[in-house]
Amino acid sequence: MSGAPEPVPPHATEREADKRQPTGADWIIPAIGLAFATYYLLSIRNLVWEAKIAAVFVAVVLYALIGVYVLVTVVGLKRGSLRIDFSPLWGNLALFRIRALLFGLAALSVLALPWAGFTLGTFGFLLVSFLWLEKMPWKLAVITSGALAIAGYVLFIVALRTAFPPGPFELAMRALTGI
Amino acid sequence: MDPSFGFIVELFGNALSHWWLILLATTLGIIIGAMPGFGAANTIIMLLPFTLAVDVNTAMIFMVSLFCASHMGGGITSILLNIPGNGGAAATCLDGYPMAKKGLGQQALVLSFVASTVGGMVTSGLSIVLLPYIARLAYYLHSVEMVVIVLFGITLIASVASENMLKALIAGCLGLLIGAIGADHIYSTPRATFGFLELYDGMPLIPVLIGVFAISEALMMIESRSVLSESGMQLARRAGWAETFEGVKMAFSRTWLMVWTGILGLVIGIVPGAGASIAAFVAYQQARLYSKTPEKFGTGIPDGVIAPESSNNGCASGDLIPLLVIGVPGGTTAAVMLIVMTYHGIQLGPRLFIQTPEFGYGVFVTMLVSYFIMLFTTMPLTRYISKLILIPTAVLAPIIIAFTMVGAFAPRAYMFDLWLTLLFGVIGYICRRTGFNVVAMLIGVILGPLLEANVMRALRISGNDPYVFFSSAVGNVLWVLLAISLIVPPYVQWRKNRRQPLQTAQAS
Repeated sequence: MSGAPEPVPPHATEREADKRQPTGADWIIPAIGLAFATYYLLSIRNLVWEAKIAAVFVAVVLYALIGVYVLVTVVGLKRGSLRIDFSPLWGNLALFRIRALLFGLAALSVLALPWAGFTLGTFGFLLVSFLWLEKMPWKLAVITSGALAIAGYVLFIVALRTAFPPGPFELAMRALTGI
Repeated sequence: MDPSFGFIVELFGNALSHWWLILLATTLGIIIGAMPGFGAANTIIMLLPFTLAVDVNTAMIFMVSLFCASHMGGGITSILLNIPGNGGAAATCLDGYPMAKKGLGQQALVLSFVASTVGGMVTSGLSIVLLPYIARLAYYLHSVEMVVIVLFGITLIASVASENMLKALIAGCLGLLIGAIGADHIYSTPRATFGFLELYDGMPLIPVLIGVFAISEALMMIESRSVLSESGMQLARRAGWAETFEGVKMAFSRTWLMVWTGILGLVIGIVPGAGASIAAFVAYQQARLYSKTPEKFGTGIPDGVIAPESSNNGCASGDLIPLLVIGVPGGTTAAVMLIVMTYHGIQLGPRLFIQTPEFGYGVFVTMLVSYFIMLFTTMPLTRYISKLILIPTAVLAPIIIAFTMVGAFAPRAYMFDLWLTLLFGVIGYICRRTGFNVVAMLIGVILGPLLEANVMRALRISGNDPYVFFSSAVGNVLWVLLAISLIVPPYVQWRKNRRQPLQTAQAS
């Protein structure tokens, strides 16, 4: 290895030198709050006032708080203590991709639940996650996710009687054992 | 009736003779308490065929033991995974999880169990002695006072649990508004349901809890290979009996904290509807207020685990007092118990202590015995339970998602609730990434319906007079405290910010 320092990309040094706090991603929750409060008020506009007074009070307080937040942000931007930057929302892009895929996988397993049932759905979700996230060896991944799915079946379906839509596994077990 | 010493001893004998039942119920209670979505109420409902078939004494012992244990079990996942098993355990995350990240998960679990036991035992003991007197507290808190208590709860959490009070207040108010989704209490008109029939009954709490805590935490935790730091990993691997005893020592060196936060939980629990979540946060805030090192709260210190856990379990005793004394259940589980006891012919209310005093006092004696038994059953398990945190995050995150989703589905059996959980998972993720407090949002959702019901009730009683909210002395005192809790933290922060450049200039 040479003793010379590695070249640093110019944008990295710029960002490091920038001491201003990022703002941008933190507008999402106030924006959701603003949109939801407005929708809420619209949905109750024809009700008697008794049925809407509490919600109107909370919505007005929420508007006021969001107003203060906007004011603080605008002042911060004008004074130069804040800079517009949405990157805190995802941080590291490679990690964000993993998160999005894990979330997508969870959504897929919910989508498949009415046909696959709890046990097979959980098995599939865990197997793919272990293989892809942990890079687990095939055999170990199958055994671990299989054991967890069966333990879940015994605890949640057999013992706690959770009313999940039955899949092929649950139907086969019901036919074999009567449970 | 004032109970005699001999009468109480007899009740102890009766409870101890059912040790096997208490052992079974507490084990079950701890497991379900640690699983978000599987509360004591649901389990008692599922086991109704059992509680209705056995005699009333056995049913009572089973339900009360399970109820206590579920309060204790909620802290396990709060500490190890930052996912509260129930609303009362949400405050435990604030210091429990940072302790676990430092490799002190086992000590944190021991602290939680000891504090729960001491809080539960002190308050059930106190309940036996003071039952007829403390029950009167519920008469002083009407709908007006409850409105202020709910708002106070939000501001308290915003000032305690968040670095940015404004952001936490926005999250809390958004939570309150989300909690007000669904049909109103008087006219049953649907509000802000987006056209979904599944939301007519209101926003289901469990999918929100699991979404903002479990799903978002699972998405956050895959940032690193382990939730533990390098040194924390070594500490957690070495954990053995010595760490258990260290935790016990840590807890008993703070005995007074356990006692007074437990009593605080008892007092708050007596107010019907106030619940363990408020009790735990108030205790946390009070412990920080009287601490010599308030700045360390939130960084993973024993006091931050002891205060909410003791209060949460103290609240369990408080929850049952209005049920027994005035026949008004303090929470969902108490409501289910009311149904079972009424089925068995027990008349709850003031006459209970005249007609069947052995039943009324027996509830609290059973609590005492349950907590005592749990102390010995949970302690040896902490070293094994705490190893959960050693699992790599890439394995843990999918397991959390897969199994907590079951909890989201279980209470109502709607596929809709699973999608709702995922939606709140995204909202929780955005909140965490951008510094909006998820705890404040959750507490808002919990308290939203309570706020609305009490606002409506107060207006109905007063003939729609808005000044009713300032008509009671207790309420006005609470309004002043609310104003103080809003003004003081920003003022202190402002003074701190002003002093800092001065001190830096003086130092240079």
